Amino acid sequence: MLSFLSMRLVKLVVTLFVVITLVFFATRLSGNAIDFIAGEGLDAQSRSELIAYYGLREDILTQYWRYLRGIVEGEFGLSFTERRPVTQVFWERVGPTLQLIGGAILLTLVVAVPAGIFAAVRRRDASAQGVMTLAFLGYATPNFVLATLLLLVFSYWLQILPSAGNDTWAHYLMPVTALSLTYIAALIRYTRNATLDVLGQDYLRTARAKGLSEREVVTRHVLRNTLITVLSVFGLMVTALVSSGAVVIESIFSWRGIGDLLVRAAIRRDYPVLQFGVLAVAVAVVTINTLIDIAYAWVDPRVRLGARLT
Amino acid sequence: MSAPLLEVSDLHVRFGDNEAVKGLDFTLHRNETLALVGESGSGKSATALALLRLIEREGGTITRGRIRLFDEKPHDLTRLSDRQMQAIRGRLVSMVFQEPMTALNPTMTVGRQLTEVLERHASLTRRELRRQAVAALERVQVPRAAERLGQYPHELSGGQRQRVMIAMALATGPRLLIADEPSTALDVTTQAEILALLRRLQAETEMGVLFITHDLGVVAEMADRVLVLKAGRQIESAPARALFTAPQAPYTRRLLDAAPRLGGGSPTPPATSPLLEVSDLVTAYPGRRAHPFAARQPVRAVDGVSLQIGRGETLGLVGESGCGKSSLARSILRLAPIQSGSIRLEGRDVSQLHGRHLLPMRRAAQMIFQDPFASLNPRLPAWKLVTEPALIHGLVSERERRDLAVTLLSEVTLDSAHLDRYPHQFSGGQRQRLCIARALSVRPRLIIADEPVSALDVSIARQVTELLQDIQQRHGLSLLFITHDMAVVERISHRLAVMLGGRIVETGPTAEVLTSPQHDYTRKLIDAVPHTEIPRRVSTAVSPPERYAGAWV
Repeated sequence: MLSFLSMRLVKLVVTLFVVITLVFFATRLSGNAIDFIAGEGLDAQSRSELIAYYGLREDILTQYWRYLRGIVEGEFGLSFTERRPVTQVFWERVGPTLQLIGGAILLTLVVAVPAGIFAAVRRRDASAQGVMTLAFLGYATPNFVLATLLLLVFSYWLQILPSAGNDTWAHYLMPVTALSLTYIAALIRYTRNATLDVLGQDYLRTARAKGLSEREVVTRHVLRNTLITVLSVFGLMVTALVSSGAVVIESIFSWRGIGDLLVRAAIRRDYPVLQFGVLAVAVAVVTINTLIDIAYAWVDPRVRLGARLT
Repeated sequence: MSAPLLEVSDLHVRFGDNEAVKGLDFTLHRNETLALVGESGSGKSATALALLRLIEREGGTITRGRIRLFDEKPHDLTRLSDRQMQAIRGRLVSMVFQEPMTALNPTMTVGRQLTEVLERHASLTRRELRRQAVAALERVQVPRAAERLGQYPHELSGGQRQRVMIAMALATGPRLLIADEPSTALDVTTQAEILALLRRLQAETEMGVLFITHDLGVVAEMADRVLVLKAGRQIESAPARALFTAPQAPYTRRLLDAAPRLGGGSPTPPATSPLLEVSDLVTAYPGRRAHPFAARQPVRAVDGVSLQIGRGETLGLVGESGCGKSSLARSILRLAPIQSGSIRLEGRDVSQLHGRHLLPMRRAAQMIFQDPFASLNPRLPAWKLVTEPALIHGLVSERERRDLAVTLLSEVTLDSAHLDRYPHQFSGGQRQRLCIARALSVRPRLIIADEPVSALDVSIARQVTELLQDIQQRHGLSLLFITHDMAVVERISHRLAVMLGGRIVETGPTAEVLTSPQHDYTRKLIDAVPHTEIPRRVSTAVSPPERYAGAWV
C-alpha cells in the first residue's frame, strides 16, 4: 500500500510538471493579457508600468523559471483581472463546484446501478425494456438541452424552482439533474452489460444449488461482481466530470463555480488563474484515479495494489 | 439393497426446439453410486440440473416425467414451488460442479461461501457457524482449515478449491450428492485424491451419489451401477462390473475401446539423428517487486531442461499443470523469454535469433494448442485459416490458397465442402483437425502439440491422437506431444519425458519408463491413471504392481 502510494506521488509530480509547462507556454502563445487588463486608450507610460507590475516584461523563460519557483514556495501569483491572489479567487469557487459535482456523482450511482441491475435481471420484462429506452433517450440528450428545458418548465412556466444561484437546496435540483443525466444513462447501460456477464457465471448456479432465493443470489453474488466492472467506467466518468463536465451547466445556471471562473479566465487571458485551475484539476484527477484504484482492490480481492501500475 | 432415495421416471428435458433428455428411468439407493456416462451433448448435465430444478434458470424445461425424492416422506420434485425447491437444494440434495475456479464466487471468502449454505438451512449463532465451517473443511482434509476461511478462491490450488466445493456441498449433510464431472478439470494425481475423498465421505454418510462423467476410468473407480447415455437416451444400464466385463450395447463397447488406458503397448524408438537438441534451457518470467525500486525477482518456469527429439520420433512430455511444460514448448518456438541455454534445430542454434531471422525456424517447427476454439480466429473461414502460415512464409500465392486448403483438409480427413465454414460451425474435434492442417501447411519438420486432445471427448480425442500419429509417420515428422495424461501418450510416444517443477525428472523409451519408473513422481502419475479393466469399486483391491503386471509381458 505504502509503496503504491509513493509510486503514485512520483507520478503526480511528473504529471504536474508536464501539465504546468504545457499550460504556461500554451496560454502565452494564444494572446496578450495586457490588452484585456488595460482596455483601450491607455497611454504608453501607464501601459508599460502595468506590464512591469505583472512581471510580463522579462523574456518568457525567465517568467517560466520564476513561476516554477513560486509554485515550490506556494506562491501562485495574482489574478490579472481581480488583482488578488489566485488561491483566494479559487477558494471561493471550489465549494459550489464540489457540491454540484458531488451531487451529480451521488445521484448517478444511486439511480444507475440499481436501474442497470434491474434491467439485466428482468431483461425480458416490459419494465426493464422501458428503463433501457429511457436510458437511450437520456444518452442522446445533450445536458444543455435538458438544462434549458428544465428552466423553461420549472422556473418559467411553473415558477416553482429558482433559475440561478446556489443559496438553498432547491437551487441544486435542476443543475444536478441536468449534469447527471448523460452519466446516469451511460452507467445504466454499462451496469446492465456487466450484470448480464455476471448472470452467466457458473458460481451463480452454485449459489442456487445451495438453496438461495433469487433475491439472495442477486444481492450477495451478483452485486459485488458487477461493481468490479462498473467501477472502472465510473472512475472515468468522475474524472470527466471533474475536468470539464460542469462548465456548461455552471454557465447556464449562473453557478459561481470553477467552471465559470475558468471560462472567464480563458477569455480574458488571466494566465495565473488558468494555470492554477489546470494544476488543481490535474491534482484532482490523479487523486481520484488513486482512490478508484484503492476501491478497485477493495472490491476485487484478486487485484493487488500496484499491479496495475506497471 | 436399502430403500430407494431417488426415483426418476420418464424424464424429458427440452432446450427450445432441442430435446436434450428423451425419457430416462433410474433409481438410486442410499449409499449407492450411480454413474451417468456419456459424451458431451448426451444429456447428462441436463439431467443433473433437472433433478435440482435448476434447468429452468439455464433456459430448459422439464416437459415430462417424475422425479421422486424420498426423505421422511416422498417429494415429487417436478411439482414443488420455487420456495419449496430452495428448501431442498443444499439441504437434501447438493451438487458439486466440474470447474471449481468458476463455480466459486471469486469475490467472496471461502468462509463466507461455506457459512452461507449452513445459514440458509439452519439458524445458528456466528460462533457455531464458524465451528461448523471449520469442521466441514477438516472433513475434506483441507490443511489449516481455520486459516482458509479468510482466503479467496484464487489463493487456493485447483485441488483445494474442489475440496472447498465438496465441503460446501456436504456441510448440511445431504442425502443425495450430484457430482458433475468433479475431477475432470484436475490433474491426474489430484483427481485420484478427490475420488478417494468422495468414496470415503460416502462411506461415512451413506449418502447416495449420482456421479456424472465422460471418463470410464473414473466410473470404474467410483460406480456401483452405470447408466450409459447417448443423445438423451439410455443406451445401457448395468452394474459396474457387468458393464466392464460384458458390455451389451455396441456404443458402450466403442466407449470402452476409446477410453485411454495404460498397457496398450507403445511404438519402439526409431534410431535416427537428432532434429531438436535443447540443453540447459532456462525460461524465466518477470516476477513481483519487493518494493518500488527493487529489481523484479524472476520466476523460473523452465529450470535447466535438456532434451532431444530425433527425426521421425515422438517424444511424450508429461507433467501436471504448472510444471512448466507449456513454457518449455513456447520457449522452443521462441515464444517465451529464454534466459539461458541453447536450442538447436536441425543443427542450428535458434536461441539467439530475433525478428525476421526467426522465420525459417518457425517454418520448420509448428505448434498445436490445447483449445482449438481459442486458437482459431473466429472471423476467418476454414480455407483462409489453414493456409495463413503458408501465405506468411510465401509458400503459396493468394490464387493457389484454396487449392492448398483442399489438400490440407483431406490430409486431416475433413470434407473439402467445409472450406467456407467458420470455426463456430465445426465441432471440437474438427476444430482441432483444422489446427493440425494449419500446422501442416508449411511442411514443418517438428510439430509441438500442447495438450491437443485434453479439451475433447474420449472417442474424439482418440481419433485426433491417431490422426496425429498417422501424420507423424506419413511425413516422417518429429512430434513433441505434451499432456498430463499418461494413458494418452503411451500409444503414440517413442520416448517419454516426465516434468516436475520446471525440470525433467525422468526420461527414456516409453515402455521402459512405464514398466520400471525410476522417479517417485513418475510412479505417482502412473498410479493415478484410472483403469477400466478391473473396476476397483466392485473388485477386491488390487495393488498397483499386480495391476500392470500382465500388460507388458
